[in-house]
Amino acid sequence: MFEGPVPAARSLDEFNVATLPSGDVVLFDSARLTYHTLTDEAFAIWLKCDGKSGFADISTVLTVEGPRAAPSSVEYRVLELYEAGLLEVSVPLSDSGILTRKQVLRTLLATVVGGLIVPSVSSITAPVAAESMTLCLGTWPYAIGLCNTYKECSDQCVPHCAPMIPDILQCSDLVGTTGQDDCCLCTCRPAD
Amino acid sequence: MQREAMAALVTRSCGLSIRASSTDMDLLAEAVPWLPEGWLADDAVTEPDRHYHLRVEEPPHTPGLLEYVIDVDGAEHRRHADFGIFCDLLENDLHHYIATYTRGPNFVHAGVAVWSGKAIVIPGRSFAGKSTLTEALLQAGATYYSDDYAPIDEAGLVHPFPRHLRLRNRGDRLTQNRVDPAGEGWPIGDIAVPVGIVAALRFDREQGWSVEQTSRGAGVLALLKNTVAARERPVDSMAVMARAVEQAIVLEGTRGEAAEAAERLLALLN
Repeated sequence: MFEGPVPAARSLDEFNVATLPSGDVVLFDSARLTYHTLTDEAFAIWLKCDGKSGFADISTVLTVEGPRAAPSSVEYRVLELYEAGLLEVSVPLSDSGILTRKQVLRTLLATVVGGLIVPSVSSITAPVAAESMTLCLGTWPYAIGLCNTYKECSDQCVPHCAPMIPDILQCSDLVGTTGQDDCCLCTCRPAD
Repeated sequence: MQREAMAALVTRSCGLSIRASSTDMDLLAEAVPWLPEGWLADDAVTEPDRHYHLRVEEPPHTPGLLEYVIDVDGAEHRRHADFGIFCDLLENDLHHYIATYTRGPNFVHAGVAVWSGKAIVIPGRSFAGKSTLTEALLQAGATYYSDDYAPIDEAGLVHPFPRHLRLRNRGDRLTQNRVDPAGEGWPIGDIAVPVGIVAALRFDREQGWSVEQTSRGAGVLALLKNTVAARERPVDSMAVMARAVEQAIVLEGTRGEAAEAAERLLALLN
């Protein structure tokens, strides 16, 4: 079990919360326009990150038998919460090697034999480009996605065409939003 | 001064009143198939939530060429010389407006087909293969609900929002056909149903069917990622999507050919 600074969760007041019957929890972070889903276990750990409890105390919320209950998985779960931006950034969890992903995983793998640690926190940024996406992709048969630069378009077009190669490739303003969420136009041709 | 005759149609959709008008009767009549069903000739609605006026004009820089123009609420909004693209622009704008500004259900970018009274919701953007998979479900006997937008109400039920399917031509992923579901004989839904499956699947011919059943929390995130008003109505969106997945099977992964994937999905609801 790691010693060191204690993790502190951001205030619950900063989030909108919905709880599913399964126990999973959905959070919306209005400051960062981000949605998160947490398993019941991750949510319990997050609530226990009160800025006072150390990792040993936090691990008391893990009451389920099996690999998930391994005490050292607490560090991993806290790291997930930290990486999702759900902890106070002032907590120097990853400073000076106190809690690095490498350390956590090494300890975790040594403890959880044969168990799979599945992610308990998933996050997305609330989508913003719905209008451009709809107007662009819904209308233009050669459009494969949105882009702000030629390179962004190229990065989409190359795998889209494989095993062929791009023929026409253009990041083009087709919906009146030049420089922002333009349409990536892409056609393919056989490789020479 | 002679006043031009004006034809007008009006519809109400998801709590919004929308008017489409033109002085060109033929143009308005030709655009009707691209508009949602339920439009009525009506001059009585003088202050709709959104007013589309359609016209044709010769642009000054290209004499001899005709362009189709869409004015929205009195200002020019879109124009194009190709009539098909003009109609697509009109339909896209109209659907997006309803999806964004409705005071009713939350709209998710998703294909939807219904089997055994439950919706198979395929969230995703264009080129994710949702129209192809939706078509395969319809070919297998499912009922058509949506090709692009799925309205989900506060009880978590999915409503039909049908339009012509836009399918990529086989062997040429860069062009698309419009397929009229009624013309194909596919049944079209008319009642709200619960979600049976959230299928967040990506087409991968080499990987084929490689799918995991995942948590309902992941299902909520898959829907929110494609929710039109996820940023504007977050509290509402979260609650609605949480309710929608309450009884749903949530699948994530890759699929191969659509027909095989459709069979597997339908089997899960049998």
